[in-house]
Amino acid sequence: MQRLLFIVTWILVLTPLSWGVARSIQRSMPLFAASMPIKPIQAGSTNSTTPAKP
Amino acid sequence: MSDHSPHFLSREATVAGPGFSRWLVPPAAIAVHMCIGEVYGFSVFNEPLSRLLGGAAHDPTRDWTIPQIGWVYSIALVLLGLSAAVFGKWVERSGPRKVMVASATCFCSGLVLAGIGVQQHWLWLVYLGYGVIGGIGLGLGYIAPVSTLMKWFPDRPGMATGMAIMGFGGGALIGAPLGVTLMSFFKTATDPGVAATFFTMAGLYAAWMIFGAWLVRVPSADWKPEGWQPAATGSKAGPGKSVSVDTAWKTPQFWLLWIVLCMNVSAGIGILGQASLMCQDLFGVSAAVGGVFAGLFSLFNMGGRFLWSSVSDLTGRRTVFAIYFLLGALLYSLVPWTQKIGSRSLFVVVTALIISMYGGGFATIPAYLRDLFGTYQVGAIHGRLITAWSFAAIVGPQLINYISTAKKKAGVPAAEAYNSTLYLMCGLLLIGLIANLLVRPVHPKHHLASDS
Repeated sequence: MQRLLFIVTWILVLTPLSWGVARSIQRSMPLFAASMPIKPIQAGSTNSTTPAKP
Repeated sequence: MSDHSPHFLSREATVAGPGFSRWLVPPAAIAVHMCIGEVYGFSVFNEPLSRLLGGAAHDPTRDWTIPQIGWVYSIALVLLGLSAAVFGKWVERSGPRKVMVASATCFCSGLVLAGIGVQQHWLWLVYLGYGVIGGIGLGLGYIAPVSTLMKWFPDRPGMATGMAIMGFGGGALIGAPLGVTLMSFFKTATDPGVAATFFTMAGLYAAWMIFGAWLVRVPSADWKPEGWQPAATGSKAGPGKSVSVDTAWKTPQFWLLWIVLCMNVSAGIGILGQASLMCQDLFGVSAAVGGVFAGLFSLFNMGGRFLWSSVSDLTGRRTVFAIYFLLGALLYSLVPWTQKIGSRSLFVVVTALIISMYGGGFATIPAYLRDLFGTYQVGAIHGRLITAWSFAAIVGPQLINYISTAKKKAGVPAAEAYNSTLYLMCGLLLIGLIANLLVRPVHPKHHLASDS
């Protein structure tokens, strides 16, 4: 019983976490795409008003 | 049959019986932290909340503005720190189950109130619901499992708290896409579906958090891991003698750790708040690709919490914080160089490492407190230290914005304006390093009499 609870509990917790991780990795792929063009820096285009997320 | 069994929510009812596996406690903690970590993903609601009345587009005369909505998140974070500080002693007294249920009640009823506020278009109710009441739920849920985990894992306290706090970091990985999915399910031509999403999330998160509360147990007073002796852990940081919360926060060690956490968080926020835009400005990628950065951050924020805190069990807490500060300062100073050589991949790797250490700081600090002050009221002491996070979350971005704005007004190009911010982060990390190096064991006069 204890072993079953152990397995079920970890599956329940790890499933949504794994889904989130897999989704994040999938969405991050374009950052490493070699074909993405690099443009020159635009002066004054810094937008520092975005709220920070700790 | 005795009719005097303890109440389900009481501490007595959570004492584990013989043969209970301690590995069932981390999932309980993760379940709660994963839910309250949803606050990290709140930004997905910003844009839909700004067009509740205007339909498809923002109506500037009637709709809420993004800065107005941003206050919801800020209030929640401030209340997180305050409630953790104020209710810390109650958390220690009441045990983890009662606190987890209280956290679930506050967090989920806060979501419901916020949903009603959205339906009625009452911003004050969203502030009160998600910000104040939900924020109290965040604070309670954040510190609820900390001391319990350290009592179950005296041989690996860093790893144990790292697992729970990893759940908080991963909350956005689940909460943000869940919010987007639910909104797309509930939206109509005139309603972006935010209220229904809040109501649904309240139900889902309540079930998950109550599951965690049901599962959690505290060890009996005489329990210890099989074969484990305090002197034979191999850890360089053993538990300190117990110090009460009221004494602990008057010691220099508490305030040095406050500075350590505050500097680590302030520096991390510098990258978290701006890296997406930095990626766009420095490398000319599209906003969509820059936005992808946020997801990658959450991943490293989460992974760093588990990995770095586990490393701290081997190296000791002071060493691992010295690594955060020294390696962090080096990495911050490398960011301008990555732009100079045009390596976007290197920029991503460097900033991801920085973020991992930012998360690692959060996960390692409870074990650092336990090393210095013992496990007696470590949850309450941790609660008071969390104020450093709230402080840094409010002051840090203001400081960064002030410098960036001043530079821009002076006509400095974007890349150079970023450089100033990055060098400021290096300075903050060096202050943190000095505070960390000044930490010494607590004077024996502060130890509780029962220890001697």
